[in-house]
Amino acid sequence: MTNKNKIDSFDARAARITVLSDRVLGPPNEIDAAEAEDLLRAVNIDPQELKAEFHRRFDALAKQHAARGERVAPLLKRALADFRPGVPHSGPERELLREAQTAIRQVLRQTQQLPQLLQQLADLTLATAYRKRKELSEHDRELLDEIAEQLRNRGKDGKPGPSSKRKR
Amino acid sequence: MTIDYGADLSELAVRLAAFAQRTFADFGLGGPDAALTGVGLSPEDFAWRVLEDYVEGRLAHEASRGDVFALLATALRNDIIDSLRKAAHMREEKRSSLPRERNSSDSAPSLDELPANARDVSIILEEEEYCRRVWASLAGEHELEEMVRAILDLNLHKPRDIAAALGISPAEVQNRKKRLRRRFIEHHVFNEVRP
Repeated sequence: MTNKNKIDSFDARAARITVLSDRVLGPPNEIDAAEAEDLLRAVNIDPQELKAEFHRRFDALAKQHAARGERVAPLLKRALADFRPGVPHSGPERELLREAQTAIRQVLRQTQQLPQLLQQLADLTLATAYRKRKELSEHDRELLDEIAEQLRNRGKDGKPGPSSKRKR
Repeated sequence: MTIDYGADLSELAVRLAAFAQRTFADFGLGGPDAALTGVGLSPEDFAWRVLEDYVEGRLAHEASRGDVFALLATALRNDIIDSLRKAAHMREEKRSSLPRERNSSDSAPSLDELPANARDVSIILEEEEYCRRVWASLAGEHELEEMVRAILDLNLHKPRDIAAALGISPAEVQNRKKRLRRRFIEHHVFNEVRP
């Protein structure tokens, strides 16, 4: 038998086994995450240990890239985040965690920019003096009388007030 | 190349490691602590290799060609088959270079040429041998035997056809397949491989 025939024979036979396997056991994507964890535990493999080991390997890979001065690819960053030990196991929880981290980073960035933003505002005055007064000044009384007068006039013009519907 | 940002990579890793166990069982290779003879890789190593290729961009994923797990599982199985071919080739080269006893036959290998837990590749690629291992893993499980008979003897493929033949629901067929996968892998690791 020639080498080519041997290879063909090997490939053809291996392909037949894979077809048979998929017929009997189902296609690969029928194994979901919960079943996969169950299958690993059945053969004494701890899924959390496996994830921790893969995190160590991805971490080493990222360090190799950094040592060569290369940019760490987005998918490798994602792998480091997904495999990090101690993060929630469920997908939605991890998505929430990612959103929260993004929001916190944004708030911190804005906080750091606050002094520059304040400097851009001209003639900024803070009205703290009013809070210390115990009695109304003449000016305050005039303002309040003016508002009361406006409200009385609105009633006389027959404009419905906010509670008019409920009274009907 | 499309990067599937929606896929949780740690979840993919666990599914790939489980599928690697199944593929080792399909080809009658090693146990949980074993590595494929000749290349020295365990099922978890194969899962790692394919995931590393994906993360490093060496394995391109087209969204139109199914989900990312299907792509990685196919790549993983092909990698195991390639390694099995290399292992068989290496063993053959080693065998041909060994001096033979004067009275030994020309073709039959002596036992010490074969690694302790390795099977002859020509045997593990036999469909009959595969079916033998499937049946051996089902001993005493009537429901699972019934389903495998419908698949192999009646040549049924689709879950709804199998369900109709057995008078059960398609969901029950999926449930039995799940049990079958577990029985097959467990049997392989604890009965076929370990003494």
